[in-house]
Amino acid sequence: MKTFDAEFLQKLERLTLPGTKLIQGGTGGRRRSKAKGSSIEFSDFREYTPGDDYRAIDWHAYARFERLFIKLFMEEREANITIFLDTSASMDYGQPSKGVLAKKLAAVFAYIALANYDRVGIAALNDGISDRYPYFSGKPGFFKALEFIDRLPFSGRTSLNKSIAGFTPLRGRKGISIILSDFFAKDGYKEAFRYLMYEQQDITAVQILAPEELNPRFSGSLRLIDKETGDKVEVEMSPRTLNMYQKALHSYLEEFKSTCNRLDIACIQVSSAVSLEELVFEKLKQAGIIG
Amino acid sequence: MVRGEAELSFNNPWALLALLLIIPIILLYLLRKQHEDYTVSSTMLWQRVLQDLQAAKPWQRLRTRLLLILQVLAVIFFALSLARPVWSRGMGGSHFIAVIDTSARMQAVDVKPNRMEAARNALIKLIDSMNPGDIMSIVQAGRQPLVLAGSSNDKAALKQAAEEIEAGNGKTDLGAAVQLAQAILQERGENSGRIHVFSDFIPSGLDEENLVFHLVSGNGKNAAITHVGYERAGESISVISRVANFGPERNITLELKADDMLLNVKEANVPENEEVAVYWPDIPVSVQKMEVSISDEDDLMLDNSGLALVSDGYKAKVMLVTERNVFLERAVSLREDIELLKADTSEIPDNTDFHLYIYDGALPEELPHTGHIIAFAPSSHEHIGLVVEGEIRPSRAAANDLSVYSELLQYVEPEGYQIARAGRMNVPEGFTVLLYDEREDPLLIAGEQEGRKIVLFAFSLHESNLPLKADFPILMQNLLNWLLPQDIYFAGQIFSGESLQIESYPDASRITVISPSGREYEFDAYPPPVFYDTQEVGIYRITHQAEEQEYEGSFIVSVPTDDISDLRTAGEVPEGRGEAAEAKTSPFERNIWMAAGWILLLLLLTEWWVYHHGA
Repeated sequence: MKTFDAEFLQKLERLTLPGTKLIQGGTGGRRRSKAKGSSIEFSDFREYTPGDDYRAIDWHAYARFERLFIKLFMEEREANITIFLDTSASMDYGQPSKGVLAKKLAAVFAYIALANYDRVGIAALNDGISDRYPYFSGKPGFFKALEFIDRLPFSGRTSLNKSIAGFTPLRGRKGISIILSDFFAKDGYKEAFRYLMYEQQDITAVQILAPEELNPRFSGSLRLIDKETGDKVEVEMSPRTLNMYQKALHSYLEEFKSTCNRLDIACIQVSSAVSLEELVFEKLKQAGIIG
Repeated sequence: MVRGEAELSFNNPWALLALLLIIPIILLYLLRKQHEDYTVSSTMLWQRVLQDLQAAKPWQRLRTRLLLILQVLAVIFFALSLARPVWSRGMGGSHFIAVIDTSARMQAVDVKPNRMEAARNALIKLIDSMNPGDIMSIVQAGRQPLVLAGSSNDKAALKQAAEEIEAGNGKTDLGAAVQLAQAILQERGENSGRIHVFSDFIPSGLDEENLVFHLVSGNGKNAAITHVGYERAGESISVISRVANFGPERNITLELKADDMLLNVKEANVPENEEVAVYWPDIPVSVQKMEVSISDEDDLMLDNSGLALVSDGYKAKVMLVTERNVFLERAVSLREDIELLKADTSEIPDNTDFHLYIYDGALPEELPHTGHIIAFAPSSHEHIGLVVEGEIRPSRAAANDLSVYSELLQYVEPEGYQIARAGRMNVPEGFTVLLYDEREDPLLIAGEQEGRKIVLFAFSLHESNLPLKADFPILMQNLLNWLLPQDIYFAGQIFSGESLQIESYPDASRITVISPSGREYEFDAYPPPVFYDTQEVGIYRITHQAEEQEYEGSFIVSVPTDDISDLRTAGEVPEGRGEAAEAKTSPFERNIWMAAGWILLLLLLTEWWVYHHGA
């Protein structure tokens, strides 16, 4: 992804992902502070896993046990950022494509998290977890993750409920879950939200829709074929039919928004036609999704 | 107008082919089922839309059908408006009667190409403007009105009739033609039909209701030869011609042709509305035909020449058989065209060459082979069938007004006649009583037997005061006019369109007339034929074919300059006189294509509304 040049990444480094659930166990009033002073108390150790910040390795413990341990007080301050990227076939739609924007956005969220010393895991969803990138931290791993994101194919049906509920690595880890999807799922998305809330996740939902979905310009008699399911719908495209679609779309978007509000989920609905910079530095900021 | 079934007809029925557009519309509705495939990210929302649509499905079906119906109706009204429907009531529209003047004046070229063509074009335009339900009759105004096309709605036939109309060389009775047209309308009970008059003037004294005048006149300038005559002056002839000017004063160049050879040219100054005489003296007496013509062109060339034929001095031969009757002799001798031969009753000559035999006293037992007869106080005659028995003493004489020969008593007043005695005679077959006494005994009878005309007086002139009466010569001239043949060499001059009574030569059996263009007409000599086809102007030749020889004569047909030469007639319809030219739409029909057009527009608007606002 060419978008991610040094200048763009530098701009991203100034951004943070606000969360509420982690602050309670943290210190100093800020979840991710760049000033990691010694005043922070040691809590526990855990074994080093690749991707962990090697600066947190307790070399004393290593000397004693010849095993790498990380001081657990650091982990307490880290947030687990899980990015759920919808890679169902429906995301590969629109000019510009919804999926491309979703991938870029996933990379943006990942980089911001890494820049704030958070741990980032990426899960590709369709009707299950089609692929995942394990949690890692540290900016150096970004480009590898980016490569992973870039390679993800779009296929299969969307089932947010099934796939998110089946994401076991989340269990027991508070954190932030970011869902990048069009939320066009036959079985809905509410169960997925509930599951994430149960797992004490700060949820951010970014609903991405293509311009063709927001304002379709159809005419004549069409047999619409669902990209995911192959379902066919025959519609006589008339101003009246299009008007009815707008009403249905508006109702669906409103319902999504009100669900998010009700569940205290930060959400935003964007068109894939919007530029990444505008989305990140204006819209997401305005929506309070990034700070 | 006779009311009948209302009728819808079309001015442009071919436009109904546009109804075929309904087929592709229906096909398009059928083909509309063929949906085009289109892949979308998700049909989830569209399925919701479809559910909503399903809820409104009955209306949707109705809407689809309604759209189809509206479109089909739109095509129907589109085709209807193109086909220009006409709604007519009654006998299929209105009745036009075109009266077209064919007088010689219509040949004038003051209107291009000429008045007749202009009138014809206007008539054809009127025919073209007829709606399908209309009918038209065409009446040609000639000397007698003639119906050329009767109550037809066949435009082609009407146009053909119009094309065949030609201007004649005579005058016409336009008033009579208009009256005939009005009578036709009245007969059909169509008081609201219209009579379109195509002429160069408006006849006076007409009931001008329903008249539409199409005037074709350019107030042309014209001069005419109104008279050509001659008189013998010793060994030469003087020709007298008259030329009239119906335009501004001008010098008119005149030519005299004798037997088709140019003999002289003269110029005459003729003031406006004046007629001047031009004399041409010293013409050789041997000339038979003289023609005076105007060299200059004007708007009507027909009347630019006049003809005269020099008669050879024909005399009818009359045999008067009498002992002595001065009154009779004088009365007969009054005519210059008679060669009178007198004979004593005792020596009746056996001569069959006489045109007329006058027997004063007795009829010969054997009548001459040819020749007509007048007899005074005849005795019984077997051949004629005459029976004279006894005498009557009539106290007075009276005319039989019902007689077919009543013209023989023209200007005669028999009431004053005193007749001492007369023979009591019967009325033989073929005879009619002209005069009778108070007991209705015939005093004068006339009749025809085997081509021979016979007049019988029951009394002798010596036994009456008739010769002393002033009307005796009149009575005799009337009789002679009837009995004597015309000057067969020059039968006279008539105007084009008039008829000529041809007096057959007594022993002629066939008569042939050859027109100036060489057309031949053959007639039986008896009864004497009347020649009607006098449209051509010029010299007509007549041949009387007798048993042993042929007698040749001629007559001239000329143009009635008094009636046709003045071209300066009104070119506009005076106020209050009829209606000016443009053909009017019949009051009994309505063009409804405009209505069809409005309905079409309404349908399209409704369709638009249903398409966009259907629930």
